[in-house]
Amino acid sequence: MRKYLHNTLIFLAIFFLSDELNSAEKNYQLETLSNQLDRPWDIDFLPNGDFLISELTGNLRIFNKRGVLSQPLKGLPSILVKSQGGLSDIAIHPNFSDNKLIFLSFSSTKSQGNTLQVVRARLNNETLSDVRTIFIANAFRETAAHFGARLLFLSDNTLLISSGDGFNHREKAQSLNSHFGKILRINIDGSTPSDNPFFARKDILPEIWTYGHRNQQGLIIDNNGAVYSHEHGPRGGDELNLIKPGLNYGWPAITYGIDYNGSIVSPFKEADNMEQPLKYWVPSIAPSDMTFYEGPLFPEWNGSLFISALSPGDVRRVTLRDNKFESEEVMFGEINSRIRSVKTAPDGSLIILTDGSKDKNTGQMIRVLPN
Amino acid sequence: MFVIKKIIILGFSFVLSASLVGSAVILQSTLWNLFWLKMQGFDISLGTFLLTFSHDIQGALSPILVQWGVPINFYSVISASLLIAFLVTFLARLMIPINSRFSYSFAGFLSIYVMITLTIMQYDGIILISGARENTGLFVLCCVGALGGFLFDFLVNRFPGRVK
Repeated sequence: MRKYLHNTLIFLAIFFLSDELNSAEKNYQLETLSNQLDRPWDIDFLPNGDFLISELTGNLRIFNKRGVLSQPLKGLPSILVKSQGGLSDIAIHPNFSDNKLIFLSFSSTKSQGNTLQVVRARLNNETLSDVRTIFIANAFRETAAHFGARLLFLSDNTLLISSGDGFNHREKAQSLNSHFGKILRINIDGSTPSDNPFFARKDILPEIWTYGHRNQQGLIIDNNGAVYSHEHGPRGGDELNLIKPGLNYGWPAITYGIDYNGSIVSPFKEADNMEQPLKYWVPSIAPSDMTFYEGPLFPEWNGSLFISALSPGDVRRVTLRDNKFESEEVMFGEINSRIRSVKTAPDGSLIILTDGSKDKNTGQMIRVLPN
Repeated sequence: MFVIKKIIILGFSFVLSASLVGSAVILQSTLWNLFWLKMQGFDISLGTFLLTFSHDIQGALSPILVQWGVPINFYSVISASLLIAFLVTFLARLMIPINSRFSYSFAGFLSIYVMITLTIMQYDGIILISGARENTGLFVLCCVGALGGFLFDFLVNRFPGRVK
């Protein structure tokens, strides 16, 4: 009898506690802003409150304050739209209000093969002008895969670019004579900053900031100036890394993942002079973007990293303590879709883009607001 | 009775040659990866090789994709390629009198080449077998397929006396 009562009490405690936890978890509501985007890839925020949205299919659009999605902006250069290639990241210059500069990454075809390209342009009233190529990666491949393609402004207004390993060229992530599997740092005119870690070395490409990466689609800076990147692993082995200039992040010499055909890429998971991830995922979550949250709407989330995941399709809220992994919370699974991007809007809401890769014009833009 | 024996011999020969080809393809990938790591200064001992190879064999037996709701592993993909190639060769030899050892070896060679090419087309240029990313590696893999065809023909023709 006593045992029966004991079990009943435990059951009731769990029942009510889980209910309490559930209601505590749902401190937000989701508002769909658009569901007609064509494979959206990135979103950034203009000072006037408009959103700038890139679509992998080669379009750049503005979603204005009135909730109207513009026609594709004209004036973009020729873009390779194939497989994982297309128009990718947007970075708005920190002094956009003065110089109207935006930066775009995309895949393009050159005579040597497909590669990652970065242009800068001036954006005035939904019109692009003065479009100039500032960077073409020395990472030519026959595939349209693993371009990386994230852009990030550092506090000194230099630009970081993530360049993926091209899938078939993974070993070149360890070679300092190519841009495969690297994070690169350039000035906004395309020149190389003289304080880059390998700038003085004649045998190394001077743009290289870090190396040994696979396909890095998350690149952010927190309010203390620490840079974080995440990258897709093969089968398992997605990584979140703290990025410091000049360091080697190990791919494919060390990895927690295995190859798609089931074979081992490397039997080693650590090695001297190769950095360990802050966190790795086995099985893969296919991390697609990341944002550092600091805003007034969800004070309990301040200081968290939000990582969008394509597989199975959710967002991971990751907390760090002293630059070490502390906890992970799986969120927004109710969207029930591959999540392509997550960003913190200037008002403190989160903006989520779904991948929309199954059918044309089905990508969603969802705003996360407090309940 | 004769037909049953013949079927058993054909099945046995095919399973053996397909297993050999699958394992050799895995071995090539294992060696390819470990050789690169050795070049990078990693210590590759015999134990590391054996451990990696056995893991790779296990990996090849686990499903790599689900097609039509059926999980498919790497050995199945290779077996299907060889099966189609050997069937086509068998039918072709009914019409064209070609040396059987040569024709099955050639079919094995071609089956691996076609399998890798089709996989590359399916995945937009991505090569799933790391050892096939360079021409030398691809050629070695095709030769492994040829060896499989040679073995298949050798085994099938070794037993007819007993079958009879």
